[in-house]
Amino acid sequence: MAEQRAIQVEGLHRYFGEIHAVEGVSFGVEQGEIFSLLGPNGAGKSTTISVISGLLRPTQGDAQVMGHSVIEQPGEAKKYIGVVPQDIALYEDLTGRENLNFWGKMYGIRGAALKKRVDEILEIIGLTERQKHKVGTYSGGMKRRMNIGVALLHKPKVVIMDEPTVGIDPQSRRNILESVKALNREGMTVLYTTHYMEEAQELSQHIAIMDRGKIIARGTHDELVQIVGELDRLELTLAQDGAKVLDAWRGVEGVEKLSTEDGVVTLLVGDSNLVLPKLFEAANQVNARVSSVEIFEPNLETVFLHLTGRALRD
Amino acid sequence: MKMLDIALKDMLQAFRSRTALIFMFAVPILVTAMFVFLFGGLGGDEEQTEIPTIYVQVANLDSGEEQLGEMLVEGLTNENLPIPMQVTRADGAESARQAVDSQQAGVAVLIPENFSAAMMAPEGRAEVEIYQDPTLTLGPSIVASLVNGFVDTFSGSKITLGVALEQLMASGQFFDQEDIETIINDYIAAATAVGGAGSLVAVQSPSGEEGEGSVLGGMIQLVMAGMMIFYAFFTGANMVHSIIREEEEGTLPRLFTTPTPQHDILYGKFIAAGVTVFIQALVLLVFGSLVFDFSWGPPLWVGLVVLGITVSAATFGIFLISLLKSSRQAGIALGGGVTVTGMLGMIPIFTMGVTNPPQTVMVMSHLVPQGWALDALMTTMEGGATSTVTLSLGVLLAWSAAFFLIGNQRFKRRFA
Repeated sequence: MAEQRAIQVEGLHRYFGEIHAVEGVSFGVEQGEIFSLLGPNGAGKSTTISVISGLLRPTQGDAQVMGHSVIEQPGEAKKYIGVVPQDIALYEDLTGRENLNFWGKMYGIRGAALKKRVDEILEIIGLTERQKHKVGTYSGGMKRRMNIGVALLHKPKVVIMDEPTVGIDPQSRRNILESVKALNREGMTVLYTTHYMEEAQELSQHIAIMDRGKIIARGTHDELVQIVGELDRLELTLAQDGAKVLDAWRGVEGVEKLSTEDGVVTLLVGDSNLVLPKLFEAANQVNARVSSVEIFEPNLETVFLHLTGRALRD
Repeated sequence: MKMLDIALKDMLQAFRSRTALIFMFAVPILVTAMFVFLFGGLGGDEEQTEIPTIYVQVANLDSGEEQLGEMLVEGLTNENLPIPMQVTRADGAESARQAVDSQQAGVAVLIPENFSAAMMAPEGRAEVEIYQDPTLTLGPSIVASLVNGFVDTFSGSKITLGVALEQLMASGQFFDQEDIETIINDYIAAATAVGGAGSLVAVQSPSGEEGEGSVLGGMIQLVMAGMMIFYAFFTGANMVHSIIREEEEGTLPRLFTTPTPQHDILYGKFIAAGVTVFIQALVLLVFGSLVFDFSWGPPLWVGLVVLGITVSAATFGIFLISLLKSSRQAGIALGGGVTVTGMLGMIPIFTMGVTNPPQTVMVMSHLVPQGWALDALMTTMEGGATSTVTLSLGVLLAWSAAFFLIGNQRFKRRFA
């Protein structure tokens, strides 16, 4: 008999008034894996995990955590999950230790077991020395670590992380990615949302790409990349306004998709060696000047562009 | 258990917040201390409590045979009266008013022609006019309270007479004018004896000691009581405001992701509001007793009143905050809603220096729970009837039940 999935989402819909934020999302997360929901802002990632966390009731559909429905048995389902919210959600006027003590109690840990676990978590997140200081005095990176530490207090089977690296410096980001891998090595299942393609690629065994409330592709990194086949991704920077050249490039043979943002034009092309000269020729005809060119191997960005016609960063 | 953990956490945060502590304790104490400073004391030390002599002109126009107007004048000129007053008889109403206008007197008491007749008639009504120098507040309010005391005594005698006659007539006994006057005089004698020192009216300090400073002490105590109630309601709303604050800061949504039932979270916050208000009220009452020597009344009743204030302030907060969506609105609600309702409730304190304040204004204080809370505490302080305190507490409880039901329902729906 197959092992029970850590998370199973079936036909999830969620409306906010007229807005259909999540449209029939279904996916499963195996125990012990890191599963990423990848997509731009507004794709429906946070709404999906809010339903799984028991924060929002779905309009339709259901989600199960370790076999417990978040609608029918929310209390049971919540016992298995630790949620790391996107923004810091801590009491800044309490000390680090007081925060951990309080959240530990909310997860049902008490007495000596709580003290022991708080000591362990402080050690794991490297804040033992600062445990008696108010969280409000911590640096951004320290708060991030404490934010994660709170979610690990009750040794959850599933850790849900909602864009934990948004707006932080590269070093803190690296620390977080390493801690996610460390948690996974200890056997925890991680559901990770991000709009950074590299993070999903580096961390995940399975990735679901979301856009406009729907999952548009799902699989391992390699499976997803195969969707685009042999297509190359080109990024060309224009020296000046290149509105005229875009129309010209769309008509060039071998150009599959084109999107533009901040003067950078991203194209999916069949064979870059054949297409690039034609692109320059077309640019010359309309007096447009290309200041830089980059050629990329197919990756998740390419997949997203291929599937949606837009760059992931849009 | 988790409910109490949440309550303790909220209280820890509140008692660590300088702003909250300032509004809970410092402001009510400072305002009271300011009044003490302004008026030079509370009455314990004669040098500090000296009240300036009140110059009073009395025009007694009463033409009734019973000469109750004359009794009122005698009451005001009684040497045993513990208020420094110099009372002069005026030739008439106009002369008395002129004395005030020319600042030869601070207050004129004008006893109407029908005073005795009205006092003696079962449904009679007489209006003693207090004509005052508009720049004065303390003196006129003291004179007004003396006159009111006299009139109240007579009102009591009218009720006594009515009841006595009714019962005696029911048993077949009938009375002439002489018998009726005897009953009235007996009642007045009894009321006078209770008032002490042989005076018809006497000012009694909360501790039961007479003294010229006792009136002032009572007024300042009332100010502290008012401040305590005003800021108790502010604290109640501010504590419940943590629901909105936490929602915006993300800790409330995070709480909802833990296996903690929603009602534990909400009730934990309600408990924190109640206990914090209770501690605030208790600390202020004890502080008033120890530092200003205030007597708040019988401990049991004071305890019940504090409980009533606690429950109503906390539930008022639940109701008020449940109507809001953001901290921005909360600022307006705390600054506006609590202040306006608080001000309405405190009308009896603001009108202390006003002679014969309009009844409609006084009624307005009962449109808000703060008014009933003040009523309950004032009655307890003054050793008033337990039925009056019970009524005020009953009304407070009804307010509280309505506030809680509406607020709780709105919060439940909001986080469903």
